[in-house]
Amino acid sequence: MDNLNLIAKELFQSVEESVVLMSKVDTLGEVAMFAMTLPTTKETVAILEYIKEELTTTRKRLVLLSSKLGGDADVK
Amino acid sequence: MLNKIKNVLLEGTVVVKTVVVSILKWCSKVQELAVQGFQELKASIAVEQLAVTLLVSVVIFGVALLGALAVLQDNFVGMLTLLSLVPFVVFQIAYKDIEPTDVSWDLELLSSILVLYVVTTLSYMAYVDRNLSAWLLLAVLLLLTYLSKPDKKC
Repeated sequence: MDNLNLIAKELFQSVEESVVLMSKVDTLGEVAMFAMTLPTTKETVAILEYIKEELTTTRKRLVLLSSKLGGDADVK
Repeated sequence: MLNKIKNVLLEGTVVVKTVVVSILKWCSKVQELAVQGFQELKASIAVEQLAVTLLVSVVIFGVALLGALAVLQDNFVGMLTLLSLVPFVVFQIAYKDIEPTDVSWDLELLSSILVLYVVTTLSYMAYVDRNLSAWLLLAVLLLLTYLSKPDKKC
């Protein structure tokens, strides 16, 4: 019973985290698309650099989450 | 009963994992696009900076040459050119580190100096040398400026 409780808890946490990460990827993608339409300035480059770093972090968290759920998760 | 719950939870885990893998694939795609856009942007900035640096070098060299000739020949316009070069060089040195990628500012300043130089030269030629062509060119410039003025109605 305790084991099932633990599985349910982890599943719930995974769903929550995946929703947060999905929303993050969506927002970052939209901001990146918008930034690419802006004139070429150092600010635009800085925005894209920030998005790049945030996407890398998000990707790492997704890989961790996926491996926590079981199986190989490294998607190129 | 417990087995049933366990099965449901395991199925849920599989579904969530599928969703997470899909998000991961999507994230990789977005990241790829962002990296591609970032590299394109950096490349275009590098090309623009090179073009502006070349243009600035050519203009500074040209203006300096004209200025030097002016000093040698006691030419008033040439000396004005030398004076117009001073604020440009000062701004270049002062703002180079602050706005390294803002090329539009450089081009605006350059075009203003060139226009100032052309108008001063033409005015000098028109008034002091009583040159009819210079008067005509000044009139054409004035007309072009008037025609290119943005329509304030909208």
